[in-house]
Amino acid sequence: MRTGGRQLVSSAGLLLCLTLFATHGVAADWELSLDLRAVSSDGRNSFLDNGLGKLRFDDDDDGIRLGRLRAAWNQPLGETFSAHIEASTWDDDDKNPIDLTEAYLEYRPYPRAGWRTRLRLGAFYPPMSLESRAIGWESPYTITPSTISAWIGEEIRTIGLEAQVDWLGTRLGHSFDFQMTGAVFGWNDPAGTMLAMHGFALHDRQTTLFGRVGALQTDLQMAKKELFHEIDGRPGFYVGAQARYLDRAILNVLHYDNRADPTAEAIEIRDFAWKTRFDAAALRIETANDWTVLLQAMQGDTAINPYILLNWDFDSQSALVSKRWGRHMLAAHYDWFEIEFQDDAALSGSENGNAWAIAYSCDTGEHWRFALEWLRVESDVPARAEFLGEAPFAIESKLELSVRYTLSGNF
Amino acid sequence: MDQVNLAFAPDVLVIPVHSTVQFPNSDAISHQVYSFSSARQFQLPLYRGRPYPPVQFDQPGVVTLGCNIHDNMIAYVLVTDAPFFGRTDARGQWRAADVPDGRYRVRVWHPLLNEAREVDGMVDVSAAHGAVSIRLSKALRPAPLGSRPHTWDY
Repeated sequence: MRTGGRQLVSSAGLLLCLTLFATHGVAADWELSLDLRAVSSDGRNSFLDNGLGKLRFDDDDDGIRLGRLRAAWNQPLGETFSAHIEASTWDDDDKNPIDLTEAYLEYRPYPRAGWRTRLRLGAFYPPMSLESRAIGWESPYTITPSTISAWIGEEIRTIGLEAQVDWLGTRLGHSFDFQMTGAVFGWNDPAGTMLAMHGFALHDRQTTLFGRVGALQTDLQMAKKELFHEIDGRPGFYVGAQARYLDRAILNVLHYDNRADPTAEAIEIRDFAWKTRFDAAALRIETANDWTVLLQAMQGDTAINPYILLNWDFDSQSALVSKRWGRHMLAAHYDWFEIEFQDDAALSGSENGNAWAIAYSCDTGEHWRFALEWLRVESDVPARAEFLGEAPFAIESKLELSVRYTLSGNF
Repeated sequence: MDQVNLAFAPDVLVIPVHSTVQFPNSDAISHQVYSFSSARQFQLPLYRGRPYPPVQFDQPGVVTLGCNIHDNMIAYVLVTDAPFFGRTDARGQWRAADVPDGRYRVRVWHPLLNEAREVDGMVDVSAAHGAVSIRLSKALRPAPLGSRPHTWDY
Protein backbone atom coordinates (compact mmCIF):
# COMPACT_ATOMS: atom_id res chain seq x y z
CA MET A 1 0.00 0.00 0.00
CA ARG A 2 2.76 2.37 1.00
CA THR A 3 4.86 1.43 -2.02
CA GLY A 4 1.86 1.98 -4.24
CA GLY A 5 1.34 5.41 -2.73
CA ARG A 6 4.96 6.32 -3.35
CA GLN A 7 4.67 5.17 -6.95
CA LEU A 8 1.62 7.33 -7.34
CA VAL A 9 3.46 10.32 -5.88
CA SER A 10 6.49 9.75 -8.08
CA SER A 11 4.41 9.32 -11.18
CA ALA A 12 2.49 12.46 -10.28
CA GLY A 13 5.87 14.18 -9.94
CA LEU A 14 6.91 12.88 -13.32
CA LEU A 15 3.65 14.06 -14.84
CA LEU A 16 4.17 17.48 -13.29
CA CYS A 17 7.72 17.65 -14.71
CA LEU A 18 6.47 16.62 -18.13
CA THR A 19 3.68 19.17 -17.98
CA LEU A 20 6.11 21.91 -16.97
CA PHE A 21 8.43 20.81 -19.75
CA ALA A 22 5.60 20.98 -22.24
CA THR A 23 4.07 24.27 -21.15
CA HIS A 24 7.43 26.01 -21.09
CA GLY A 25 7.55 25.39 -24.79
CA VAL A 26 10.97 23.78 -24.84
CA ALA A 27 9.03 20.93 -26.37
CA ALA A 28 9.59 20.16 -30.02
CA ASP A 29 6.98 21.06 -32.64
CA TRP A 30 6.31 18.49 -35.32
CA GLU A 31 4.21 18.47 -38.45
CA LEU A 32 3.19 15.71 -40.76
CA SER A 33 1.29 16.40 -43.95
CA LEU A 34 0.01 14.34 -46.83
CA ASP A 35 -0.82 16.15 -50.06
CA LEU A 36 -2.68 14.10 -52.68
CA ARG A 37 -3.39 15.32 -56.18
CA ALA A 38 -5.89 14.59 -58.87
CA VAL A 39 -4.23 15.57 -62.14
CA SER A 40 -5.40 16.08 -65.68
CA SER A 41 -2.48 17.20 -67.85
CA ASP A 42 -1.65 17.42 -71.54
CA GLY A 43 2.00 18.23 -70.75
CA ARG A 44 4.87 17.01 -72.89
CA ASN A 45 7.15 14.36 -71.42
CA SER A 46 8.18 15.96 -68.11
CA PHE A 47 11.68 17.26 -67.35
CA LEU A 48 11.53 14.78 -64.45
CA ASP A 49 11.36 11.95 -67.00
CA ASN A 50 14.23 13.27 -69.14
CA GLY A 51 11.83 15.14 -71.38
CA LEU A 52 11.58 18.83 -72.15
CA GLY A 53 8.06 19.28 -70.85
CA LYS A 54 7.62 22.18 -68.45
CA LEU A 55 5.28 20.49 -65.99
CA ARG A 56 5.84 18.12 -63.10
CA PHE A 57 2.90 15.95 -64.16
CA ASP A 58 2.75 15.22 -67.90
CA ASP A 59 0.09 13.50 -70.02
CA ASP A 60 1.20 10.10 -68.65
CA ASP A 61 0.49 11.18 -65.09
CA ASP A 62 -3.27 11.72 -65.23
CA GLY A 63 -5.04 10.35 -62.19
CA ILE A 64 -4.30 10.35 -58.48
CA ARG A 65 -0.72 11.29 -57.56
CA LEU A 66 1.21 11.96 -54.42
CA GLY A 67 1.82 15.70 -54.26
CA ARG A 68 4.08 15.60 -51.24
CA LEU A 69 4.49 13.70 -48.01
CA ARG A 70 6.21 15.95 -45.55
CA ALA A 71 7.54 15.73 -42.02
CA ALA A 72 8.99 18.67 -40.13
CA TRP A 73 10.59 18.97 -36.73
CA ASN A 74 11.45 22.16 -34.86
CA GLN A 75 13.40 21.66 -31.66
CA PRO A 76 14.13 24.63 -29.40
CA LEU A 77 17.54 24.27 -27.76
CA GLY A 78 17.54 26.55 -24.77
CA GLU A 79 16.21 30.09 -25.09
CA THR A 80 17.72 31.27 -28.34
CA PHE A 81 18.91 28.23 -30.29
CA SER A 82 16.73 25.90 -32.30
CA ALA A 83 17.09 23.06 -34.77
CA HIS A 84 14.88 22.70 -37.87
CA ILE A 85 14.50 19.65 -40.04
CA GLU A 86 12.27 19.29 -43.13
CA ALA A 87 11.93 15.91 -44.82
CA SER A 88 9.78 15.08 -47.84
CA THR A 89 9.04 12.64 -50.56
CA TRP A 90 7.57 13.48 -53.96
CA ASP A 91 7.06 9.90 -55.06
CA ASP A 92 9.11 10.02 -58.24
CA ASP A 93 12.30 8.35 -59.33
CA ASP A 94 14.45 9.96 -56.65
CA LYS A 95 17.50 8.41 -54.99
CA ASN A 96 16.03 8.12 -51.51
CA PRO A 97 12.46 7.27 -50.59
CA ILE A 98 12.41 10.16 -48.14
CA ASP A 99 15.01 12.87 -47.92
CA LEU A 100 15.75 16.25 -46.41
CA THR A 101 14.99 19.59 -48.04
CA GLU A 102 16.31 21.67 -45.15
CA ALA A 103 18.22 20.97 -41.94
CA TYR A 104 19.74 23.77 -39.92
CA LEU A 105 20.55 25.24 -36.56
CA GLU A 106 19.31 28.72 -35.81
CA TYR A 107 20.56 31.24 -33.28
CA ARG A 108 18.09 34.05 -32.70
CA PRO A 109 19.06 36.17 -29.70
CA TYR A 110 16.63 38.72 -28.29
CA PRO A 111 16.68 42.15 -29.90
CA ARG A 112 18.63 44.85 -28.09
CA ALA A 113 17.94 48.56 -28.55
CA GLY A 114 16.15 47.93 -31.83
CA TRP A 115 18.78 45.62 -33.35
CA ARG A 116 18.64 41.88 -33.76
CA THR A 117 20.99 39.35 -35.27
CA ARG A 118 20.19 35.88 -36.51
CA LEU A 119 22.53 33.10 -37.55
CA ARG A 120 21.66 29.94 -39.45
CA LEU A 121 24.05 27.06 -39.95
CA GLY A 122 23.21 24.06 -42.10
CA ALA A 123 21.14 23.64 -45.26
CA PHE A 124 18.27 26.05 -45.96
CA TYR A 125 16.75 28.41 -48.54
CA PRO A 126 18.21 31.85 -49.05
CA PRO A 127 15.73 34.55 -47.97
CA MET A 128 14.56 35.61 -51.41
CA SER A 129 11.11 34.21 -52.05
CA LEU A 130 8.27 36.35 -50.75
CA GLU A 131 6.02 33.76 -52.39
CA SER A 132 7.12 30.57 -50.60
CA ARG A 133 6.03 31.86 -47.22
CA ALA A 134 3.94 28.89 -46.04
CA ILE A 135 5.31 25.97 -44.04
CA GLY A 136 7.50 23.60 -46.03
CA TRP A 137 8.64 26.50 -48.27
CA GLU A 138 5.37 26.27 -50.17
CA SER A 139 3.38 28.98 -51.86
CA PRO A 140 0.07 29.53 -50.07
CA TYR A 141 -1.33 31.20 -53.18
CA THR A 142 -1.20 28.51 -55.87
CA ILE A 143 -0.16 24.84 -56.09
CA THR A 144 2.53 25.70 -58.63
CA PRO A 145 4.69 28.67 -57.69
CA SER A 146 6.34 31.09 -60.11
CA THR A 147 9.17 29.93 -62.37
CA ILE A 148 11.57 31.81 -60.10
CA SER A 149 10.46 30.01 -56.91
CA ALA A 150 10.28 26.68 -58.76
CA TRP A 151 13.88 27.11 -59.90
CA ILE A 152 15.10 28.09 -56.41
CA GLY A 153 13.41 24.99 -55.02
CA GLU A 154 15.01 22.88 -57.71
CA GLU A 155 18.61 24.10 -57.74
CA ILE A 156 19.40 26.52 -54.93
CA ARG A 157 20.15 25.73 -51.32
CA THR A 158 22.45 27.44 -48.87
CA ILE A 159 24.67 24.83 -47.30
CA GLY A 160 26.72 27.01 -45.04
CA LEU A 161 26.43 29.92 -42.64
CA GLU A 162 24.08 32.89 -42.93
CA ALA A 163 23.97 36.02 -40.80
CA GLN A 164 21.11 38.51 -40.67
CA VAL A 165 20.93 41.87 -38.96
CA ASP A 166 17.54 43.48 -38.43
CA TRP A 167 16.81 47.05 -37.51
CA LEU A 168 13.36 46.82 -35.91
CA GLY A 169 12.17 50.34 -36.59
CA THR A 170 8.52 49.48 -36.04
CA ARG A 171 9.44 48.65 -32.43
CA LEU A 172 10.90 52.12 -32.06
CA GLY A 173 7.81 53.96 -33.32
CA HIS A 174 8.89 54.17 -36.97
CA SER A 175 7.07 52.79 -40.01
CA PHE A 176 9.97 50.77 -41.44
CA ASP A 177 12.11 47.76 -40.59
CA PHE A 178 15.34 46.94 -42.43
CA GLN A 179 17.31 43.75 -42.75
CA MET A 180 20.71 42.86 -44.19
CA THR A 181 21.70 39.27 -44.98
CA GLY A 182 24.99 37.70 -45.91
CA ALA A 183 25.96 34.07 -46.33
CA VAL A 184 28.93 31.90 -47.20
CA PHE A 185 28.14 28.48 -48.59
CA GLY A 186 29.47 25.46 -50.43
CA TRP A 187 27.94 22.38 -52.08
CA ASN A 188 25.89 24.37 -54.62
CA ASP A 189 28.32 24.14 -57.56
CA PRO A 190 25.94 22.25 -59.90
CA ALA A 191 23.36 25.09 -59.56
CA GLY A 192 22.52 26.21 -63.09
CA THR A 193 22.78 22.78 -64.66
CA MET A 194 19.00 22.32 -64.78
CA LEU A 195 18.47 25.70 -66.45
CA ALA A 196 20.93 24.64 -69.14
CA MET A 197 19.49 21.11 -69.44
CA HIS A 198 15.73 21.69 -69.41
CA GLY A 199 15.27 25.40 -68.77
CA PHE A 200 12.71 26.93 -66.47
CA ALA A 201 9.80 24.79 -65.35
CA LEU A 202 6.53 25.22 -63.51
CA HIS A 203 6.39 22.80 -60.60
CA ASP A 204 6.28 22.53 -56.83
CA ARG A 205 8.89 19.79 -56.44
CA GLN A 206 11.83 20.79 -54.26
CA THR A 207 15.06 18.92 -54.79
CA THR A 208 16.15 17.11 -51.66
CA LEU A 209 19.63 17.51 -50.23
CA PHE A 210 20.72 14.02 -51.22
CA GLY A 211 18.29 13.59 -54.11
CA ARG A 212 18.35 14.34 -57.80
CA VAL A 213 16.37 15.73 -60.72
CA GLY A 214 15.85 14.10 -64.08
CA ALA A 215 17.42 15.83 -67.07
CA LEU A 216 17.79 15.61 -70.81
CA GLN A 217 19.98 12.69 -71.84
CA THR A 218 22.89 13.69 -74.04
CA ASP A 219 26.36 12.31 -74.67
CA LEU A 220 27.78 14.94 -72.36
CA GLN A 221 25.40 14.61 -69.48
CA MET A 222 24.02 11.90 -67.33
CA ALA A 223 20.29 11.54 -67.16
CA LYS A 224 19.98 12.42 -63.49
CA LYS A 225 21.42 15.45 -61.80
CA GLU A 226 22.50 15.92 -58.22
CA LEU A 227 22.50 19.54 -57.21
CA PHE A 228 24.18 19.77 -53.85
CA HIS A 229 27.85 18.96 -54.34
CA GLU A 230 31.09 20.77 -53.71
CA ILE A 231 33.24 20.47 -56.82
CA ASP A 232 35.91 23.17 -56.85
CA GLY A 233 36.48 23.87 -53.14
CA ARG A 234 35.59 27.54 -53.63
CA PRO A 235 32.91 28.93 -51.30
CA GLY A 236 30.06 30.97 -52.75
CA PHE A 237 28.26 33.90 -51.18
CA TYR A 238 25.11 35.95 -51.28
CA VAL A 239 24.18 39.32 -49.88
CA GLY A 240 20.67 40.60 -49.54
CA ALA A 241 18.63 43.44 -48.14
CA GLN A 242 15.02 43.79 -47.13
CA ALA A 243 12.88 46.81 -46.32
CA ARG A 244 9.46 46.46 -44.75
CA TYR A 245 6.80 49.15 -44.47
CA LEU A 246 4.80 48.18 -41.37
CA ASP A 247 3.40 44.73 -42.24
CA ARG A 248 1.95 46.02 -45.53
CA ALA A 249 4.83 46.05 -47.97
CA ILE A 250 8.09 44.22 -48.23
CA LEU A 251 10.90 44.69 -50.73
CA ASN A 252 13.63 42.08 -50.98
CA VAL A 253 16.80 42.08 -53.06
CA LEU A 254 19.50 39.42 -53.26
CA HIS A 255 22.75 38.95 -55.14
CA TYR A 256 23.90 35.33 -55.38
CA ASP A 257 27.23 34.06 -56.72
CA ASN A 258 28.36 30.49 -56.17
CA ARG A 259 31.85 31.53 -57.36
CA ALA A 260 32.26 28.18 -59.04
CA ASP A 261 35.33 27.48 -61.18
CA PRO A 262 33.71 26.66 -64.56
CA THR A 263 36.65 24.46 -65.54
CA ALA A 264 36.20 22.16 -62.54
CA GLU A 265 34.54 18.79 -63.09
CA ALA A 266 33.16 16.16 -60.76
CA ILE A 267 33.50 12.67 -62.26
CA GLU A 268 31.40 11.03 -59.54
CA ILE A 269 28.26 12.96 -60.49
CA ARG A 270 29.31 13.54 -64.11
CA ASP A 271 28.84 17.25 -63.84
CA PHE A 272 30.75 20.49 -63.93
CA ALA A 273 30.97 23.33 -61.50
CA TRP A 274 28.50 25.79 -62.98
CA LYS A 275 29.49 29.37 -62.32
CA THR A 276 26.10 30.81 -61.47
CA ARG A 277 25.30 34.36 -60.50
CA PHE A 278 21.97 36.09 -60.27
CA ASP A 279 20.20 39.15 -58.92
CA ALA A 280 16.69 38.80 -57.63
CA ALA A 281 14.17 41.36 -56.46
CA ALA A 282 10.68 40.92 -55.07
CA LEU A 283 8.00 43.30 -53.86
CA ARG A 284 4.93 42.17 -51.96
CA ILE A 285 2.10 44.49 -51.00
CA GLU A 286 -0.83 43.42 -48.81
CA THR A 287 -3.91 45.49 -48.12
CA ALA A 288 -6.35 45.65 -45.23
CA ASN A 289 -9.03 43.94 -47.33
CA ASP A 290 -6.75 40.96 -48.01
CA TRP A 291 -5.53 41.71 -51.50
CA THR A 292 -1.94 40.73 -52.23
CA VAL A 293 0.22 41.85 -55.11
CA LEU A 294 3.58 40.17 -55.57
CA LEU A 295 6.12 41.12 -58.23
CA GLN A 296 9.31 39.11 -58.74
CA ALA A 297 12.24 39.46 -61.09
CA MET A 298 15.45 37.53 -61.48
CA GLN A 299 18.32 37.86 -63.91
CA GLY A 300 21.60 35.97 -64.04
CA ASP A 301 23.96 33.76 -65.93
CA THR A 302 25.57 30.36 -65.61
CA ALA A 303 28.67 29.04 -67.35
CA ILE A 304 30.88 26.00 -67.69
CA ASN A 305 34.20 25.73 -69.44
CA PRO A 306 34.87 22.11 -70.44
CA TYR A 307 36.96 23.17 -73.44
CA ILE A 308 35.45 26.53 -74.41
CA LEU A 309 33.39 28.84 -72.29
CA LEU A 310 29.68 28.03 -72.60
CA ASN A 311 27.34 30.63 -71.20
CA TRP A 312 23.62 30.74 -70.51
CA ASP A 313 21.89 34.03 -69.61
CA PHE A 314 18.61 33.59 -67.77
CA ASP A 315 15.84 35.97 -66.93
CA SER A 316 12.40 35.55 -65.40
CA GLN A 317 9.66 37.84 -64.17
CA SER A 318 6.43 37.11 -62.40
CA ALA A 319 3.35 38.96 -61.20
CA LEU A 320 0.84 37.53 -58.74
CA VAL A 321 -2.47 38.87 -57.46
CA SER A 322 -4.55 37.23 -54.77
CA LYS A 323 -7.65 38.02 -52.78
CA ARG A 324 -8.62 36.27 -49.58
CA TRP A 325 -12.08 35.94 -47.99
CA GLY A 326 -11.38 34.30 -44.67
CA ARG A 327 -10.38 30.75 -45.45
CA HIS A 328 -11.04 31.11 -49.18
CA MET A 329 -8.55 32.55 -51.63
CA LEU A 330 -8.35 33.22 -55.33
CA ALA A 331 -4.92 33.77 -56.84
CA ALA A 332 -3.37 34.10 -60.26
CA HIS A 333 0.16 34.53 -61.47
CA TYR A 334 1.73 35.28 -64.81
CA ASP A 335 5.32 34.26 -65.49
CA TRP A 336 7.67 35.18 -68.28
CA PHE A 337 11.01 33.45 -68.76
CA GLU A 338 13.93 33.39 -71.16
CA ILE A 339 17.29 31.66 -71.47
CA GLU A 340 19.86 32.56 -74.08
CA PHE A 341 22.73 30.17 -74.79
CA GLN A 342 25.84 31.80 -76.28
CA ASP A 343 23.79 34.93 -76.99
CA ASP A 344 21.80 33.10 -79.65
CA ALA A 345 18.08 32.54 -79.01
CA ALA A 346 17.88 29.95 -81.80
CA LEU A 347 20.45 27.55 -80.29
CA SER A 348 19.56 24.46 -78.29
CA GLY A 349 19.94 25.55 -74.68
CA SER A 350 18.01 28.74 -75.33
CA GLU A 351 14.30 29.09 -74.70
CA ASN A 352 11.56 31.54 -73.98
CA GLY A 353 8.04 31.22 -72.71
CA ASN A 354 5.28 32.40 -70.46
CA ALA A 355 2.74 30.84 -68.13
CA TRP A 356 -0.55 31.52 -66.42
CA ALA A 357 -1.75 29.87 -63.24
CA ILE A 358 -5.12 30.46 -61.60
CA ALA A 359 -6.02 28.82 -58.31
CA TYR A 360 -8.78 28.67 -55.76
CA SER A 361 -7.87 27.38 -52.32
CA CYS A 362 -9.63 26.78 -49.06
CA ASP A 363 -7.52 26.47 -45.93
CA THR A 364 -9.62 25.29 -43.01
CA GLY A 365 -6.79 26.28 -40.71
CA GLU A 366 -6.85 23.14 -38.61
CA HIS A 367 -6.05 20.10 -40.77
CA TRP A 368 -7.38 20.41 -44.31
CA ARG A 369 -6.41 22.48 -47.29
CA PHE A 370 -8.00 22.15 -50.71
CA ALA A 371 -6.66 23.82 -53.82
CA LEU A 372 -7.71 23.69 -57.44
CA GLU A 373 -5.35 25.06 -60.05
CA TRP A 374 -5.41 25.55 -63.79
CA LEU A 375 -2.06 26.24 -65.41
CA ARG A 376 -1.04 26.91 -68.99
CA VAL A 377 2.52 27.31 -70.19
CA GLU A 378 3.66 28.33 -73.63
CA SER A 379 7.29 27.73 -74.49
CA ASP A 380 9.64 27.78 -77.45
CA VAL A 381 12.53 25.38 -76.82
CA PRO A 382 14.89 24.72 -79.79
CA ALA A 383 16.36 21.64 -78.02
CA ARG A 384 13.01 19.84 -78.50
CA ALA A 385 13.68 19.78 -82.24
CA GLU A 386 17.38 18.92 -81.99
CA PHE A 387 17.29 16.20 -79.31
CA LEU A 388 13.73 14.87 -79.35
CA GLY A 389 12.55 15.51 -82.91
CA GLU A 390 9.55 17.37 -81.53
CA ALA A 391 8.19 20.76 -82.50
CA PRO A 392 10.10 23.40 -80.53
CA PHE A 393 6.94 25.33 -79.64
CA ALA A 394 4.52 23.77 -77.18
CA ILE A 395 1.46 24.77 -75.21
CA GLU A 396 0.98 22.61 -72.12
CA SER A 397 -1.81 22.86 -69.61
CA LYS A 398 -3.05 21.01 -66.58
CA LEU A 399 -5.85 21.04 -64.08
CA GLU A 400 -4.82 19.89 -60.63
CA LEU A 401 -6.69 19.36 -57.38
CA SER A 402 -4.69 19.21 -54.19
CA VAL A 403 -6.08 17.79 -50.95
CA ARG A 404 -3.76 18.17 -48.02
CA TYR A 405 -4.16 16.89 -44.48
CA THR A 406 -1.80 18.14 -41.81
CA LEU A 407 -1.23 16.85 -38.32
CA SER A 408 0.87 18.81 -35.89
CA GLY A 409 1.72 18.71 -32.26
CA ASN A 410 4.45 18.96 -29.72
CA PHE A 411 6.18 16.71 -27.29
CA MET B 1 -2.55 40.43 -22.64
CA ASP B 2 -3.20 37.23 -24.59
CA GLN B 3 -1.67 35.93 -27.83
CA VAL B 4 -4.27 34.59 -30.26
CA ASN B 5 -3.85 33.79 -33.97
CA LEU B 6 -0.39 35.32 -34.09
CA ALA B 7 -1.52 38.60 -32.60
CA PHE B 8 -1.47 40.17 -29.16
CA ALA B 9 -4.96 40.71 -27.77
CA PRO B 10 -5.58 43.48 -26.95
CA ASP B 11 -2.95 45.24 -29.01
CA VAL B 12 -2.89 48.22 -26.65
CA LEU B 13 -3.12 48.07 -22.89
CA VAL B 14 -3.16 51.14 -20.63
CA ILE B 15 -2.10 50.45 -17.06
CA PRO B 16 -1.07 52.47 -14.00
CA VAL B 17 2.55 52.32 -12.85
CA HIS B 18 3.45 49.43 -10.52
CA SER B 19 0.79 47.16 -11.98
CA THR B 20 1.41 43.72 -13.43
CA VAL B 21 0.39 42.07 -16.70
CA GLN B 22 0.10 38.38 -17.46
CA PHE B 23 1.10 37.26 -20.98
CA PRO B 24 -0.61 33.92 -21.68
CA ASN B 25 -0.21 32.32 -25.10
CA SER B 26 -3.44 30.76 -26.38
CA ASP B 27 -1.95 29.78 -29.75
CA ALA B 28 -0.98 26.19 -30.48
CA ILE B 29 2.47 27.42 -31.48
CA SER B 30 5.12 28.91 -29.23
CA HIS B 31 5.84 32.61 -28.86
CA GLN B 32 8.79 34.47 -27.39
CA VAL B 33 7.87 37.87 -26.00
CA TYR B 34 10.38 40.69 -25.70
CA SER B 35 10.57 44.39 -25.01
CA PHE B 36 13.64 46.58 -25.38
CA SER B 37 11.73 49.76 -24.52
CA SER B 38 13.47 51.84 -21.87
CA ALA B 39 10.36 51.90 -19.66
CA ARG B 40 10.56 48.11 -19.20
CA GLN B 41 12.95 45.63 -20.77
CA PHE B 42 12.14 41.95 -20.44
CA GLN B 43 12.04 38.64 -22.29
CA LEU B 44 9.81 35.64 -21.91
CA PRO B 45 11.57 32.58 -23.41
CA LEU B 46 9.64 30.47 -25.94
CA TYR B 47 6.41 29.23 -24.39
CA ARG B 48 2.83 28.12 -24.74
CA GLY B 49 0.05 28.46 -22.23
CA ARG B 50 0.70 30.46 -19.09
CA PRO B 51 4.04 29.37 -17.64
CA TYR B 52 5.42 32.69 -16.37
CA PRO B 53 4.45 34.96 -13.48
CA PRO B 54 3.00 38.37 -14.42
CA VAL B 55 5.43 41.10 -15.49
CA GLN B 56 5.52 44.23 -13.35
CA PHE B 57 5.74 47.72 -14.89
CA ASP B 58 7.26 50.31 -12.53
CA GLN B 59 8.15 53.15 -14.89
CA PRO B 60 5.77 55.29 -16.93
CA GLY B 61 6.24 55.14 -20.68
CA VAL B 62 5.41 53.18 -23.80
CA VAL B 63 6.53 49.54 -23.75
CA THR B 64 6.56 48.03 -27.25
CA LEU B 65 6.19 44.25 -27.31
CA GLY B 66 7.19 41.82 -30.01
CA CYS B 67 7.56 38.11 -30.55
CA ASN B 68 11.07 37.11 -31.53
CA ILE B 69 9.72 34.37 -33.82
CA HIS B 70 6.84 36.22 -35.52
CA ASP B 71 7.87 39.70 -36.56
CA ASN B 72 4.36 40.74 -37.52
CA MET B 73 3.27 40.53 -33.89
CA ILE B 74 3.35 43.91 -32.17
CA ALA B 75 1.59 45.35 -29.14
CA TYR B 76 1.93 48.20 -26.68
CA VAL B 77 1.64 48.59 -22.95
CA LEU B 78 1.19 52.23 -22.02
CA VAL B 79 2.30 52.63 -18.43
CA THR B 80 1.02 55.86 -16.98
CA ASP B 81 1.25 57.79 -13.72
CA ALA B 82 -1.71 60.00 -14.65
CA PRO B 83 -4.49 60.09 -12.05
CA PHE B 84 -7.09 59.32 -14.74
CA PHE B 85 -6.45 57.22 -17.80
CA GLY B 86 -8.12 54.78 -20.16
CA ARG B 87 -8.56 53.59 -23.67
CA THR B 88 -10.92 55.36 -26.03
CA ASP B 89 -13.77 53.44 -27.64
CA ALA B 90 -14.17 52.77 -31.36
CA ARG B 91 -15.52 56.31 -31.83
CA GLY B 92 -12.48 57.79 -30.12
CA GLN B 93 -14.35 58.73 -26.95
CA TRP B 94 -13.29 58.27 -23.38
CA ARG B 95 -14.94 59.30 -20.13
CA ALA B 96 -13.54 59.59 -16.62
CA ALA B 97 -15.67 59.46 -13.51
CA ASP B 98 -15.27 61.16 -10.14
CA VAL B 99 -12.87 63.83 -11.38
CA PRO B 100 -12.43 66.65 -8.83
CA ASP B 101 -12.91 70.19 -10.08
CA GLY B 102 -9.84 71.78 -11.60
CA ARG B 103 -7.85 72.36 -14.75
CA TYR B 104 -6.44 69.22 -16.36
CA ARG B 105 -4.17 68.43 -19.24
CA VAL B 106 -5.43 65.57 -21.45
CA ARG B 107 -2.70 63.74 -23.34
CA VAL B 108 -3.49 61.49 -26.28
CA TRP B 109 -1.37 58.61 -27.42
CA HIS B 110 -1.88 56.05 -30.16
CA PRO B 111 0.69 53.60 -31.57
CA LEU B 112 -0.07 54.80 -35.10
CA LEU B 113 0.05 58.53 -34.40
CA ASN B 114 1.60 60.46 -37.24
CA GLU B 115 2.06 63.71 -35.34
CA ALA B 116 5.37 65.48 -34.96
CA ARG B 117 4.48 66.82 -31.53
CA GLU B 118 2.71 65.55 -28.44
CA VAL B 119 -1.04 65.70 -28.82
CA ASP B 120 -2.81 67.25 -25.85
CA GLY B 121 -5.53 69.65 -24.76
CA MET B 122 -6.69 71.42 -21.63
CA VAL B 123 -10.01 70.81 -19.92
CA ASP B 124 -11.68 72.64 -17.04
CA VAL B 125 -13.79 70.46 -14.82
CA SER B 126 -16.40 72.12 -12.64
CA ALA B 127 -19.36 70.55 -10.91
CA ALA B 128 -18.12 67.14 -12.24
CA HIS B 129 -18.48 68.27 -15.87
CA GLY B 130 -16.04 69.18 -18.55
CA ALA B 131 -15.21 68.13 -22.06
CA VAL B 132 -12.40 68.58 -24.50
CA SER B 133 -12.22 67.64 -28.14
CA ILE B 134 -8.78 66.94 -29.58
CA ARG B 135 -8.31 66.66 -33.32
CA LEU B 136 -5.30 65.01 -34.95
CA SER B 137 -3.65 67.07 -37.65
CA LYS B 138 -2.73 63.97 -39.69
CA ALA B 139 -4.43 60.63 -40.28
CA LEU B 140 -3.13 57.62 -38.34
CA ARG B 141 -0.63 55.29 -40.01
CA PRO B 142 -2.18 52.05 -41.36
CA ALA B 143 -3.06 49.52 -38.69
CA PRO B 144 -1.36 46.09 -38.66
CA LEU B 145 -3.15 43.50 -40.81
CA GLY B 146 -2.93 40.69 -38.30
CA SER B 147 -5.27 38.24 -40.04
CA ARG B 148 -2.93 35.92 -41.93
CA PRO B 149 -3.18 32.14 -41.55
CA HIS B 150 -0.85 30.77 -38.89
CA THR B 151 0.90 28.56 -41.43
CA TRP B 152 2.32 31.67 -43.16
CA ASP B 153 5.60 33.32 -42.19
CA TYR B 154 6.14 30.52 -39.72
